[in-house]
Amino acid sequence: MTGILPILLENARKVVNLLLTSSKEYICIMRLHRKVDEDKLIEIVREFRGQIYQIPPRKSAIKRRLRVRTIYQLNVLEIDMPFVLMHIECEAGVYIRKLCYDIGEALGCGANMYKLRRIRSGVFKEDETMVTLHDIRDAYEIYKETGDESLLRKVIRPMEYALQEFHKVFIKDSAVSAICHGAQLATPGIVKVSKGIKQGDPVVIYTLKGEAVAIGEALMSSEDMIKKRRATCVKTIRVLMDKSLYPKMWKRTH
Amino acid sequence: MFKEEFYFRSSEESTDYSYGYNPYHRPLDMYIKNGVINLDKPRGPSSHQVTSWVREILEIKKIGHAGTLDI
Repeated sequence: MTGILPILLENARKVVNLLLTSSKEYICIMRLHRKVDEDKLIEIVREFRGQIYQIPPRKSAIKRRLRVRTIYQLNVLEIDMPFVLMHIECEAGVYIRKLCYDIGEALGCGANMYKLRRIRSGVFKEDETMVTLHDIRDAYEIYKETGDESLLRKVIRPMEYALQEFHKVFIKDSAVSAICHGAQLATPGIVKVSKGIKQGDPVVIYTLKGEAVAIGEALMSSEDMIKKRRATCVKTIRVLMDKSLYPKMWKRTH
Repeated sequence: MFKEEFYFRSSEESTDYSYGYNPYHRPLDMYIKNGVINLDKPRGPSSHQVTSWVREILEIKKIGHAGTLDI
């Protein structure tokens, strides 16, 4: 299996739980255990679009019980019996090996995953940001030998890059330190918010410089965050920013 | 791709550049420690193994990955 594997360095590991909820895209070669009619194959594959049921494989780390997962896109690109090239776009937590097995069962011929390449994980895709192990080694060697940081700064992206698909809440400088100390966000601290936030959605709190301060859970809609005079609007789940970066500006109450 | 629209609560607010950094302009050590990599995992080694190699290359202590490619 090859393809997109987002790597999180040091402090950026704190965003892992959020990234694990991102949708994924794959290119897969499935091998059928005997030849079948191509029209029937395409028809059966189509039935796996939408909601499917999967039990996590024995090898996985999570509890093995039946789960519902959504397949957004599932297309047969090429058939070269017994190999079937497919493009899959799905919710987080879909096991492609299992999907191939289940398609094989539905076809009655049996099938297994032959090759898999992940072409997207959240915002990480096969674009100019994608690098190989060699690229990372080269960039670090050049930095160490010449002091030139430019390649290294291309190979590594700020954690904010990974968070861009999630709703955003921008806050005032004066509210940053309190959030870094674990406080919940109150509406007066807000400057602007993404449209379309619903109660319960994950959000990322940012400074006006675009630095991620924390991951939180919206306690109200975008509209209410703007309208409510004074209310707690985001519950802080995971602080991402170092406490020492912004000065303490909140009033001490005795 | 993720062009977003916003609702404003306060349009006058500005930020003080005597503290904090634009994420792309953090000092290098801080930039790395708050960094992510869009890695193209090669065939063969496990996700865990590849992640561990990145840690060795960059001479950092802690590293993780978001979603194994091994199952």
